[in-house]
Amino acid sequence: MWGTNLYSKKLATNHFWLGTIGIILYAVPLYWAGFEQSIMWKQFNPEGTLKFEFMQTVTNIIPMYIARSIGGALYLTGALMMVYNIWKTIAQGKFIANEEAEAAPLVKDAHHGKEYWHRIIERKPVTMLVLSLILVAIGGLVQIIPTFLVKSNVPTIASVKPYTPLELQGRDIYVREGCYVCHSQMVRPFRDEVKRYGEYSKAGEFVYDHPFQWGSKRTGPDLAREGGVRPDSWHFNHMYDPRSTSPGSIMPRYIWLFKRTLDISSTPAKIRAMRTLGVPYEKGYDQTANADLATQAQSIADNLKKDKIEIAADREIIALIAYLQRLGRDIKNEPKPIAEIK
Amino acid sequence: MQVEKFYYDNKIVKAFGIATIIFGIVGMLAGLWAAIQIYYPAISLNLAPTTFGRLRPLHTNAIIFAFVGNASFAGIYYSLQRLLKARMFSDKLSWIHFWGWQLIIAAAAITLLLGITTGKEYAELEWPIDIAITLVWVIFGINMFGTIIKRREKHLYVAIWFYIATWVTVAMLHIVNSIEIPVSFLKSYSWYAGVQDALVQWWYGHNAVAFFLTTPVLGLMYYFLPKAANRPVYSYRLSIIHFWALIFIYIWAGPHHLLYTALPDWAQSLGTVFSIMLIAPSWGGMLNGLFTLRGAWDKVREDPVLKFMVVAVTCYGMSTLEGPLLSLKNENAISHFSDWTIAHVHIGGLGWNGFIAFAILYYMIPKNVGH
Repeated sequence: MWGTNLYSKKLATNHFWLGTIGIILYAVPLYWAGFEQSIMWKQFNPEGTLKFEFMQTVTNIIPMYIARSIGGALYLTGALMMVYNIWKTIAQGKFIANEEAEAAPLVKDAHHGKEYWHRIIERKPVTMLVLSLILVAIGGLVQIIPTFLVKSNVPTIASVKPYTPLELQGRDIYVREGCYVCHSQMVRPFRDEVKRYGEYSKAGEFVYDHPFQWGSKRTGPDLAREGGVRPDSWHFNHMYDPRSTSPGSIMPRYIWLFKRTLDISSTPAKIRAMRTLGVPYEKGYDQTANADLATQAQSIADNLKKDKIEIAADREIIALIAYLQRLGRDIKNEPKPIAEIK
Repeated sequence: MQVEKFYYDNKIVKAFGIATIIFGIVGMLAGLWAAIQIYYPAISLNLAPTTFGRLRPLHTNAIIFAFVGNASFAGIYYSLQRLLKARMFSDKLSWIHFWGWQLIIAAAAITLLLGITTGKEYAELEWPIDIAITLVWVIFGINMFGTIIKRREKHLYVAIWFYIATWVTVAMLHIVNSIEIPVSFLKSYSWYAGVQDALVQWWYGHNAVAFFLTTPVLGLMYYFLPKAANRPVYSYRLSIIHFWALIFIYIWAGPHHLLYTALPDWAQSLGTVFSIMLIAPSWGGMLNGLFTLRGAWDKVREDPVLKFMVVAVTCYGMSTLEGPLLSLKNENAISHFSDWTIAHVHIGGLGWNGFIAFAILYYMIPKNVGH
């Protein structure tokens, strides 16, 4: 578009090689890391205990993470070389804002003899659009409609209850901080996962989760059964400085959660929205929800006090602890064996 | 017959091209920063906006929608005009599209760093931005179809089929997955819950890869690769078969992101089956690209544009073979939740998307018209 040649072909070729090496140096260590960590998760000792703590599987692949970032840096360096090359190219050329072209206009009633069937569609953009839409709609409809309408796809569990207002606020903090980026909430039905985290996850456990938070990556451990496993004070210390409770942890510190006051003015609107979505809070609960919230927050603050931790009950960390302590607990209250749940 | 004289709008291509470069660098920097945090957490500076949980969505959104998005728009505005022998339908719509998209990116960057998010991967943006995306997308569609209607070339070339499918499918995915109930101006809850939310989300998420990172970029390949190699596309028939098969099969593959989860088994199996079938049309595209270079391999030695394209198409082939293999349940049991997935997507992201973007920039920007 600048009516010139590339400033430096050589620089572009170097960009190409740097980029290619960058991709290899990025991908190979990460394939290795993924495979190795996953295999470590699954290993058992002869006596039937898990061979590795989660933390061991993380610290073990740190060198691969370092190599990956070097690969990424090379790729980025290549891109910066492109910026320079293009800058120089633009400087030496002259921009053609409106490029001249010539063509004959379309003839409306041209006669088309016998032709390949697809040529006909190629003349009809609207047909093409409609055909595409129909084709891409089918797969989604076949999967989505039954999952919504056929009840047996999501068997309900009687003991699964909506979140308390404090837990709901805590969940929104969980979403805000992007915890799902590194933590899953989905225990798969494998021997090692059931051993490490607890009972595998059931469809009925998530019926009040707007949005779902299953995650797609376990940089940290799964949290689906986190509730009640550790004391409130552990979570408090862990969120303040993860390395104080878990040496070697690569989790960031969340110190602002200890300073910020929880915004409870949003509680009524959140309860109302959830009610609209079918979450069975009682009618009018939006007005009294904040009283329940304060009570639960105080009980967590009191609980922390027993472990010699002084913190005001209105801090965001309290709500987050409430949510984390709720995770996966409902099913533990389920009296019936799983097989009987309809 | 009378020949008409007209002018291609290069200014809009230039704007999208520059935006591609800027957001490419920004998105990669965010990625590098996040990558370093994984072994050196203190580099998050202990600030809320720059922790991994907020930086990673910024990285993914910047690369997908700002870098690859702008690159696709630059390539589409460049190739569409030339393939249809017409200037864009409306310069005004072109610029609304451009500035609208950049504003959305700016809004996305600010809100994601502030922790304003819906919590659904690659669909993190909150409802006012979702609405803005819909409007800008409609503007883009009107502009594209307006240009198609006033074209001087009777038949639509394969690249344009891909652009059309991209437009209509992204519209469908974005609208359905973004249905949410607002709580306040910048907070909403997904309309769907749990299993259903997961299914809709990965129907969207998987097909964001398919219809935002693959089909428009295949369209770009179909225009720029033959142009750069100065060869016709290898097979017209193959392009027909693989186009229709690709768009039909891709949509079904979403549940392969949810294998062994609480999603119903039948849906998981459907996802796996269609993922395996997807190898055929994906490789149809790769082979059509690579075979186009038959007899032109000497040029690959000389021309950096073709070098980038060859590696891009090869990476496309590798990741579209690996993807179906990762969809096998026994394989997925190992790879899912691990860094394997991250490696896989970066073969696609860095190799396929990144290298095609670099190739078309190196091709379009100098471009000696008189040549």
